Amino acid sequence: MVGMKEYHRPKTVKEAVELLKRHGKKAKLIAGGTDVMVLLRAEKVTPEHLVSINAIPALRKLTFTAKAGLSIGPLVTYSDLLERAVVCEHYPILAQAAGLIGARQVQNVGTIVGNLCHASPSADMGPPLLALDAQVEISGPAGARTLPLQKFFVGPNQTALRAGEMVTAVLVPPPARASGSCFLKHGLRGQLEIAMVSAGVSLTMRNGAVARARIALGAVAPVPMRAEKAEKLLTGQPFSDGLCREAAASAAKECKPITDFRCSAEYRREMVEVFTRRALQQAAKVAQAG
Amino acid sequence: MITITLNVNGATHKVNVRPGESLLSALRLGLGLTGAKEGCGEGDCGACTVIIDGRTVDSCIYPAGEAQGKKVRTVEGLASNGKLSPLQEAFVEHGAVQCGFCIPGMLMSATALLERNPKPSEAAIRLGLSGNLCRCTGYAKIVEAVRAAASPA
Repeated sequence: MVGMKEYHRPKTVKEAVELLKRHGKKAKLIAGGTDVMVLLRAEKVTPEHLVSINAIPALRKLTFTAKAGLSIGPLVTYSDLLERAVVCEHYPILAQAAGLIGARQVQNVGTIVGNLCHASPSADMGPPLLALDAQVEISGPAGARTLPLQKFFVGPNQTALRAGEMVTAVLVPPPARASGSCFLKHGLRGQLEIAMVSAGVSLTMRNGAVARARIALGAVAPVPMRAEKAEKLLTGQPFSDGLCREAAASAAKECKPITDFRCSAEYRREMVEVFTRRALQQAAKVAQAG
Repeated sequence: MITITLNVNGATHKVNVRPGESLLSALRLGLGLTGAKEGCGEGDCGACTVIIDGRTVDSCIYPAGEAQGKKVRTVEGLASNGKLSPLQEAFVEHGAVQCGFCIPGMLMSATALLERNPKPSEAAIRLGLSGNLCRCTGYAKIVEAVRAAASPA
């Protein structure tokens, strides 16, 4: 933390944006801090100004309406999601993912938006939110804009945020009828794990066929990614075991894994097939029951 | 330097912290409360666990600046009038402590767990302690101690 000059606690988004703009690359936004504090300590980031958004109560909002869907403010923690009945009922895939991040101590402090902004290829909230067609609401010096989450991830630890911009909410559309979703994470341990592979899928059925399919994968590309060819294979077709296997095989072809200390690229590709298939089967079961 | 005012174990303190300093550092170096330990320093091991406004946090990655106005509880606050808490007694009784380094964190996680769920199942205890690593691998006795504290004989 050599060179750190000031810890700012702005009271409004406007003030926060002004600070981020004024200090440019010398500023770092901090919310829960579960990623930023680790980066600071390792000197992977060396800002002169920390801009904490924790004194802006409006950013703590987690709201749901049947018409607008879910809005997740940037101070909403994993525990907030897990403890909100409306999330567990309408967006179980988000609770599944939030419950697999770190342990209680991290879930109590870490934020959903922070997970997205850190933009790790293995970010656990990436695949489920991609599968739900989430949008990212952004404020900056030039005003507000909204981006599909898919466009928000640019590269490992890189987002589409421009200088002075910050995320003010993640918006998730209302759940469709007869839809089901599932998030699966493959690691060596049950808790406190970083994914070797993760898969988040969402299916909507209509008249016995798949009306909408989303397959999102984590830790197997520079960014959390959608397997769009696999999604197309499913769309318009009656769900069957054979089709599910075909889609899973396609997802395995579409991903771009690397070999690292956790496992090899070949292993990741095989596991994408396995976990995509399992997630599709579970999501289909829920969708068909609805 | 910034000055923060916080409540630790029932007493109000003012402490000077550097921007980006962790709460753990403020507790240990600023207030001399060395119960919470630094293990991994990155939010995995839980040796630094404290309770803030009823919820456990890893104080090694919690910005001290955010503790302004908060109620913090550390292992030093569990005993009262020189008498250990029932949970601490159970740890002693069941031989749950080996080297002891992880224990302040274990106690805080278990305290928070029992306050939310006074009769946890074994699975709930294990999940509640999943963010606290013991390198002596004494988990069985720790889980036994928490279970005993939850349902006193």
